[in-house]
This record gives sequence, C-alpha cells and structure tokens, in this order.
Amino acid sequence: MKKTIGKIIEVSGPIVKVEFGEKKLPPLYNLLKVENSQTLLEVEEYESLGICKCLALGLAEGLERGAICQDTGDSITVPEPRRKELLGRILDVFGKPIDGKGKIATKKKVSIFKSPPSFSEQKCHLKVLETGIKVIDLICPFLKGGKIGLFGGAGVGKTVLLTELIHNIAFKKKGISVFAGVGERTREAQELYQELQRNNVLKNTILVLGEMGESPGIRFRTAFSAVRIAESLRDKKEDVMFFIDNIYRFAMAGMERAAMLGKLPQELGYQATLSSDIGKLEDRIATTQKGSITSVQAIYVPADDFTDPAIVATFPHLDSIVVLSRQEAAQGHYPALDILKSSSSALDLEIVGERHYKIATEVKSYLQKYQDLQHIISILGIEELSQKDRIVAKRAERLRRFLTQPLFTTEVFSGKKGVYVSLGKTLEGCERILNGEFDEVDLSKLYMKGEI
Amino acid sequence: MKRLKNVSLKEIGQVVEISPPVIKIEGLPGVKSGEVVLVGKEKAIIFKFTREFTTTLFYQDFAYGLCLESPKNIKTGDKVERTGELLKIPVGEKFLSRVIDPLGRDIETGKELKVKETSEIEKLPPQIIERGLVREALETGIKVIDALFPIGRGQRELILGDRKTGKTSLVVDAILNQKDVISIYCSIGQRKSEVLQLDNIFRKFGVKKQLVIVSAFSSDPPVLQYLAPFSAMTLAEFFRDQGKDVLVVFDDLTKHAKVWRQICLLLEIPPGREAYPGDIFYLHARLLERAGKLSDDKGGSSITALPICETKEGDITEYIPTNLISITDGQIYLETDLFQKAQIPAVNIGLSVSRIGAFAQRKYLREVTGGLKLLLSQHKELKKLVQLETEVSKAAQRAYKRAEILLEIFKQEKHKLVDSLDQSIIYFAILNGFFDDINPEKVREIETKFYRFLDDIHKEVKLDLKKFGWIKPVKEEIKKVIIEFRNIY
Repeated sequence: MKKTIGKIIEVSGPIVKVEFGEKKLPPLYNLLKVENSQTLLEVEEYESLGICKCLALGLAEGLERGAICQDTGDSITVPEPRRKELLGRILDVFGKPIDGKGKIATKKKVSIFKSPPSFSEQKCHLKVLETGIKVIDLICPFLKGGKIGLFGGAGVGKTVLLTELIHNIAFKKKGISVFAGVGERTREAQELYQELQRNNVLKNTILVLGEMGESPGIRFRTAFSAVRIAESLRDKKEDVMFFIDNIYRFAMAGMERAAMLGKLPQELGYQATLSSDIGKLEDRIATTQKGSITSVQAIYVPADDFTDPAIVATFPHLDSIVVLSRQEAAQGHYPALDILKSSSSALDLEIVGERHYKIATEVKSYLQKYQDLQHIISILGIEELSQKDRIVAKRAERLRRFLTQPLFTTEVFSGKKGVYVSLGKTLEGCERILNGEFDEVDLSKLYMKGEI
Repeated sequence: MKRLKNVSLKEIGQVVEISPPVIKIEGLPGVKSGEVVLVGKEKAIIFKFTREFTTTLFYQDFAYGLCLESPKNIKTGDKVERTGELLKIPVGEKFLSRVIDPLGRDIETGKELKVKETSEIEKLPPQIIERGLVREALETGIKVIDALFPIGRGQRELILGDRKTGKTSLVVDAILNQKDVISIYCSIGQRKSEVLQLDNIFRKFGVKKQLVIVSAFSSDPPVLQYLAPFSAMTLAEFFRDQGKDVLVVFDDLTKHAKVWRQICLLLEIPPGREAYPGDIFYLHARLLERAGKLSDDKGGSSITALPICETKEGDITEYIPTNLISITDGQIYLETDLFQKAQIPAVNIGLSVSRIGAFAQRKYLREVTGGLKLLLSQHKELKKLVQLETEVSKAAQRAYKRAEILLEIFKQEKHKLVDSLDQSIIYFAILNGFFDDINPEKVREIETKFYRFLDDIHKEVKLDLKKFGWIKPVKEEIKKVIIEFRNIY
C-alpha cells in the first residue's frame, strides 16, 4: 500500500497543520510520523484544500514547516495481551514499555478506539466485593464488576485510599489489575511501582502512564490506552481490576486539548464536549458476559467544589461514591470518609441482605442525629443534653472512632500496622456499639484499631 | 534529508509587521517552532506559524517571533536569518555566586560569561524508572515547617498566600539554612530593588558561593520573564547532573502565568478560562515535573522546588493556585489574619500539607513530631469550648495549654533558624509537660535561653541524640538536662 504523505504548513504551539493532496487524506485520529522528529501527530480535523489539523503528541518544539509527514496507517495502538504478556510492565500511551525491561512479548496490536459494549453484551453482577476497609464495606460496599469513585479535594487521601484498595483487593484476589496514571505526579506513580514490587504483586499488574509532564494530547489518550488493555483482558474472560488516578485530570486534559484546537468553551472554561468525553471513556469501563472490569477511580475535586462541571459529569457513571472530606481528615478520622455523603447502589436490601442494610442505615442515622446535636453540644456542653441524646452522642462518637482504621499503605508513616477487617467482623463491631456494649469504654480504645 | 537542512540554514526572510514584542516574518519556509532567529544582531524566538490566503488559490506563509530584547531597533523590511537551533543557555559552575538573566548573562557586569557547555531550556522530565524515592530531609530551619510539613529532597512544595504574608522571606530562610545544597533563586517580574535587597541578605549570610540568582525583572521583555523559570530549571539540572542536591525557588509563578497569558494573547492564541491559554496547567506541570529525585543508578541527586504562588484575598480556590496545588507535593499556606496576629511565619496549619510528610524527616525529629499534630488538632476542638468558658477536663486543659505553648514556639523571626536537634528536644520538652507552667508570653524568651543552654553547657546531649536517636538512655539524659534547665529558669 502506498503511504499517504503530506507537508507541515503551520505550527502554533502543539497544533500542527499538514497539507495533503485533496484526494488522499489520512483518516481522522490516525497518527502521522514526522521526518527527523520523535513527535507523532494525531489527525483531529480536516480543513479546506486537503489540510489536516493535527495535535502534536509530545513536545512541539523543533517541528519545522515543510517537514514531510507520513500516515502510519493507524490510530494509537496498544499491544493486545493474550494473558501474561503485559503483566509487570509499565507502558506509555502508545503501548511502548518505559520500564527498561526490554521488548513486549506480543506483537499483536489493536487500536485504542472501540465502541462500548452493546446493551445485550453487558452484564450486572450482584455480588459484593469485600475490601477489608471497615467504613467502605459498611457504608459504600463495592459490587463485583461495578464502578467506584473516590472523590476528594487536594490532599485528603485519595491516592492513599486507592493504593490501599490496590493492596487489599489486588493483593488478595490474585486477579489481574490495570493501573492508569493520568495527569498525576510521576513521583506518585514511581512510589506505587516500588510498593507493588515490594509486595510482590507487580507480576499481576499492568501500569499505563501518561503523567502531568506529558502534553495534553498524550494525557487525554492514556486513559483510552489503559481501558483498551483492560478490555482485551476482559474479553479473554478475565476478571480485571481497573484503577484510574485521576479522572479529573483526564477531563482537564480534554479541556486543554479543546482550548488548543480553538473550540469554544462552556462553563468555567471546560470543553463543550466534557460530558461526552467522560461518557465515551466511562461507557467502555463495563462488565460483559465474557468477563468483568471492576474499576476504582480517583476523582480530584478542584477547590473542594462538588458542583464543578467535571465532577457533576462523573457522578452518574458510578455505582459507589466515596466522598473524602477535609474536615474528617483534620479530626484524624482516617480513612477520611464523609459517611453521610458517601453512598452506594449496592447498599440495597436485595444485595447486602437485611442485617447489613439495617446496621448501615442505623449507623448513618446515629451520625446524622449526632451532627444535628453538634450545635447544642458546642454551646451548652454535652451535659445539657437529654439522657437519650447523650446516648446518641456517645454511640455516634464510638461508631466514628470504630470506623477508623490503620492502613497498610501508611504503615511507615504512622508506625501502626495496617489491618484487614472482614465484613462480618465490621458488622459485629457496629452491632455491639449500637447495642450499647461500649458506651462506657474509653474512645481511644476504639480509635485506629481493627476488629473489636 | 541532510541536504534539505543545509539549504534551509541559508534561508533569509524579512520582517513584515511589528507589534511589540511580536514580529511577523515572511519567507523562512524551514523555520522550526522554538527556533532562535536573528534580526540583525537581535534575537527572536519563533512561537507560531500561519498561512494566510489571499484568494482561494494564493497564500503566503508567515512566522511569528518574539524578540528577546525590546524590538525598537527593528524595522519592517529587516532581514531575518535562521540559526537552526532551539534556545539554549550556557551552564556551568561559573554561575555560582552570580546574578544572571534568563539567557545566562551576568546582570551586574552586563557581560556574557565564558562557559563551554550549553543546554536546551525545554527538556522532558525524568522518566519513571530514572527516579528514586524522596526520603531525605531538606531542612529549612523554620520550626513549623520542619515539624509539621517537612520537605524532602526532590519534593515540590508550593508556598502560597496573599501579598505581604512572608512568602519570600520563608523561601529565603530555606536557602539560608542550606549547607550542602546548591540553591537557585529565580525571580520573575520583581522590582530590581527587591532582588538587590535579597542579594544583600544572601551576601550577608555568606551563602552566595553556592547560590545563583536568575532574574527577569518586571521591566524586562515578557519573553525573558517567561523563560526565567525554564532557565533556572535547566541550570538546576546541570548541577543535579554533577551529583549535587539542588534547591530551586520560583518567585513567583502567578506572575509567570500572567506573562504567558500576555504572550499568548498577543500571539492571538485562543484564550480559555480567565483568558489563560489552554496549556497553562501543562506549562507549570512540565516545568515542575523536571524537579525530583533521581534513582541511585542515575546518581541519586535531586532537585527540590519551592514555587511561590500569590493568592488574592486568601482565595486558594482560584484557577492558578488550584493548578499549582495539584502539581506540587504539598503546599504551605500563609494567611493574612495570622500575619496580623503576629503568628509569623503565618502558616495556616489546617490548610497546609506535605505529601511526603514524615518520610522526609530525620528519624529523631519524626519521633517527636507525631504527637504535635494530635495536640494541635485537639487544640482546635477545644478552642471553641474554652472561648465559651465551658468547663473542660483537666487533661483537656493541659493539652490546650501545651498547644498554646507550641504555637508560641512556632513563631520565629526572620533569618533566625533552628536546627533539627534543637527542635526535637524542645518538642520533646513540651510534649512531656516540662514547659506546662510557663506563661505563653514568656515562652520564646525561655526558648532562646534553652538553646543557648544546650549549646553552652550540654552539647553532648545533642550529639547523643543525633547518633543514637530516642533510645531510653538518651531520653533519660535529655530529661535530666531539661529539669536542670528548668531549675535555673
């Protein structure tokens, strides 16, 4: 086949215009190779007279006008693993290894663009996935094949909790995990890599990274590259754990990209296509008849504003919503879940069963009542409460303390050994506190402990 | 391909339009984005190309450049030559103790320094496998930071706050406290007198021989101001590759963002939120990702970055501050209210964070500072109760008092730095109740006496602590010394 060849005529930042003859334009989203340059161009739009508007994936410095561009004949592709070929490896957006461990064992490559599974292909599991983290298992249980979002502002512990979930689920399950690092700090990815190595689970994990030092075009596509790999594995009948850090950065890369392409912005400068960008990615993270993808996604909340358009656009895609709050963190309640704001569609009588459901709702109601009493307590003191309310306050405080937990991830940091608590033990603990067994026990006896 | 290149170097274009600082050039078909071109003796950098259609069939190609100096000597019709090179700056040991501009020229003498090596100012950050873990302390000598928000070598910690809240003096102190670290102070869009004043301070404290000041003043062309942090980072990378640990300070990136916005608007690049161009996050992300710790295979040296960000009316939820917060490994937030209340350094303890945290602390300091955070969080809860004069338990009262003493200890004058051993011992004394009976107003007086007492009479305890950490005999020894001290004062 004769390759389509064009010439750069315009460069403006990362936007590059390439002129082809009118009859032989490369298809949209195909990659173009530029002579004497490592940088690849992605075709985004067509303009008049056989001109393609492209986005440079990588540094645009050094691209010259008149340089010859050649259509590679494909869009971004990633290797398609049969099972083991990619395990333990770190890949970039193009599916190339960046861990210095040599070539990848599979030659077969697939485009990162794929339609989401159809209605009839999809499948819902109604089985709860235990995480070993008390507050999560109780309040926002995860579904196998479900989608979980960890929301939180800067520095409230999203990445820590995500790493803990990788630890508890991926380490125990021995299934395959795919981790997508999108627009986050390379330092964090590096720490995770070492953590995985130390715990000997790297061999079951694939990392796909496009961190914040990369250009927006790369960051945006990294999420798709990672999803494509997860999809390949799912279609090979695997149950895949898919972790993304961070969906907000994905949305933001889309915003940068749109601004560069000169698209008109919407509210707060976000791209007009914000919801559909997120939708296109999220709809592909799905469980089918063949296999499952259970995804845990960290979502940065800019300026702690939960009404931010990117956050609002992400909510409807998730089954379990874990909200991390600055206030809880400041009080030392780790993991810093805002229990009243977190929720899960799995916390349903049909799914978790009557006992779990009852305990969880009762715990929530105690905490809600306690919150209502806060005002009175801070002005008049706990002594002024009625006998009944005092019991509510006592139990609520004990419940909140009991729902803290030392994490494996922060062992070095806090000096406390991490613990894994089974759902049964969590329920039992809550039940006993609700029954008043611990009303007179010192609060510190319940704080940062495992099971009672 | 080679043939093409040689030809293209002889390309001559001409200036067709000048709209300072942007010049529009016609007739350099092969010029690259980011390439330096010469207009007579003046240098300009190419940022953008366009093709303009006169009719549907005829068009002309143009390049847009930004002059590194004011374009007042350039006229339309002037010849433009290609250099074929991307912007490079000279790098070398010679720059130590100098004040230079972003192109590596000595500002004091106005001359270019003779160095052999040059380096491109835009580089890719170290890849994941080239990096190591941030695990060593970069002590600032500022108590509240070393205790609560420790900074590690290779960390990026944002310093943010309104104007006049002590941001610059905080980073200056951090530079003054360095002994085995090369520091680079990058000033962006400041007044000349401000930089001169800082230069005098650095000279006075004798840190100049391990310091480079890279400065683009507010009156310099915007391109120079835009280049300044990239030059500073390039220089930092040079020293890092020599095996040194480097501290680089950007004062400040809010101004840098504004300069970039100015340039992009003049170049007619479409604006986004708050009229910033779409790549504003990437601009700072790719700059700050170049800082970090290298793996042992790569030499293990590091670049620590302390970018400064100015907020308006204490709003840390604005666009540029939130961008920077999400790039860096934590932030120190300085607050006007605290500054007015004379709690200086005015660090807001609730909103500041270090994501490396205790990993970046010396062990002996780490062991005592864990208790401090607990004390301060209790203090916050108790404060309301105390203000309402509610009765609280004895234990709570005691904790409250200790936290008050601690907050008093965290007050610190400019340039009066405290080493981590002194810090560890004083926190130990507070946590174990040896200072409970001191009136908070007297605390700082006693603190000073205490450090002198340790230095003059009991030097050995500090040495023991450094050597052995908080093992039991050292603990007992330190307790004895504190009691001895309290008996005198």
